[in-house]
Amino acid sequence: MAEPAIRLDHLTRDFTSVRAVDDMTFEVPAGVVFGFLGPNGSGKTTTIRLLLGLLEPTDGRAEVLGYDVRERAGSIRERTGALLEHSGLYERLTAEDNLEYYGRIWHLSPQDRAARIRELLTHIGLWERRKEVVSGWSRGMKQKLAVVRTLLHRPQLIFLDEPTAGLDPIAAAALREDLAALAAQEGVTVFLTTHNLVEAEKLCSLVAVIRTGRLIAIGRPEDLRKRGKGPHVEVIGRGFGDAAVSALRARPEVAGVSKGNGRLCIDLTGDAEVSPLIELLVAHGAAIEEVLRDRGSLEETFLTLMEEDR
Amino acid sequence: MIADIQTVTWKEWKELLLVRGSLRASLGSVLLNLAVFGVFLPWQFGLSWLDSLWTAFWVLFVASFWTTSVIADSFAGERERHTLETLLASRLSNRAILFGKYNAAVLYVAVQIFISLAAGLLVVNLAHVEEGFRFYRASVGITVLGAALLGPGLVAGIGILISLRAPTARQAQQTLVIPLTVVLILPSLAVLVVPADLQARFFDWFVEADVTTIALGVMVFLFLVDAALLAAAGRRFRRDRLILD
Repeated sequence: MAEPAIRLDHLTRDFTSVRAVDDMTFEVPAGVVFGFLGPNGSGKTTTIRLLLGLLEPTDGRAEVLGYDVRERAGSIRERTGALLEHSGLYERLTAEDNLEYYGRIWHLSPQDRAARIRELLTHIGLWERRKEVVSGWSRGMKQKLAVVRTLLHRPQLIFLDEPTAGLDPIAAAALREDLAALAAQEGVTVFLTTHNLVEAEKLCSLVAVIRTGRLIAIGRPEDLRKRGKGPHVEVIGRGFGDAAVSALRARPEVAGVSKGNGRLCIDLTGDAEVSPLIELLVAHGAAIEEVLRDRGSLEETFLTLMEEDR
Repeated sequence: MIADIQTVTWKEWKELLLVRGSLRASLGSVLLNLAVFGVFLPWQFGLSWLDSLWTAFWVLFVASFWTTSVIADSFAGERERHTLETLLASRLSNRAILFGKYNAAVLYVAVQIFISLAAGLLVVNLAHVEEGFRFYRASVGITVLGAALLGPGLVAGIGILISLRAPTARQAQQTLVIPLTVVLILPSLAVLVVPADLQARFFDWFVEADVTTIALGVMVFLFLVDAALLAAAGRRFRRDRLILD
């Protein structure tokens, strides 16, 4: 079995009066896009800093690409790339100079640097603008540039700390698209922190959820979804009388029913068929305009997990 | 390590030359420095610009002030603009980052001083063309070259320690300029309290003094202080401390 890219073993980090990372244990297999989800202040950034060897753990240990974060932080940073809380771009320099600097830092040869910069900037559609000073660029363009900077030296693993935070929906979607394509093309393991659950659902094959520094769930998004409220159906229409609601509640595949604002929300116990429930409603005099079936999103799961942990 | 220091120095110089986003604006301020220190002052001093230790004092004074903004921008500015953490997450060692930035600041100021001294040589000789070509007196020349490197080194060392604690580049520069002004202006204030005959004797001694011995002593002292400050900066410039700051 292949070595995991990241292994945390009871990793803990205390600040003066706060435990930012609390006894965290999990593994990230190589080659996956791993989503690290949690609300603001839950310890996501501190975990990245610990894994990059920028901070020392108070207790426990962690290995990144087989290197201990305490003993071999330099070896970890040699083989990884990082887009942290801020893009880290030099705004007075051109896009090309920003990449040139990091290409030199990673000792790429001049020919390799030039070819790599061209390849990556072309991939994200910014090659023609390489001579522009980045201070005039939009936030979305800067984030794209920062993402390709993390990939410049062909790292085995990249850390991305909320890469789409603060972007408008169009820019965020474009960045997600580029990120997915680049990660697949480069075959790199991605450790992605986010509190955007749609993003995690689209990009990640494995997800961990943390709260106040503690790991509360880890698994594939589809497995985690099962821990949420489960599938449900939203019925829009009129005439949802008490008799209809009572009849629904009596059905074994119905976990719960709520009514309001011309809508009926039916929580299902599993992947039950919806048509018998609709027939039942019609039989009780309801006029149906629309039926929406939802398998339950990662967002609902996330909220459920947060509530459970409260 | 050397290649990494050169890489950081390369980036620092790029940023210094594009400090307002354009090469033209940066060159404008360099040319202004050159006009004052490479043309106006030598022209005012005349031949004594090439012979007197005052030139070394001016070099020390000017280089020190030029260094304040460069070093504050390099360290406090990097953190203020949120580029430091990304740099710390790279493969560069703490020392490569520190020495690269230090090197860039000292050389940036020293190169300007060297160009100004060359311009001053030209201006003085043109103004006194009838006396034939004169060069800097050897001891003065060596002293000013030493001052051009050790003066910025001294201010850079203090500047790093201040910048690592300052929240902004502007605050770091202000904190650095105030004590520097006091130290450099103290000799001028001494004029107000020291009796006139004692001052005259001191100036006579200073102009006629064994320049080589004085210069050597001052340079050795400055070198030791520079080294001690750089060592202290090295102890302070650690990833975990920088992240927590």
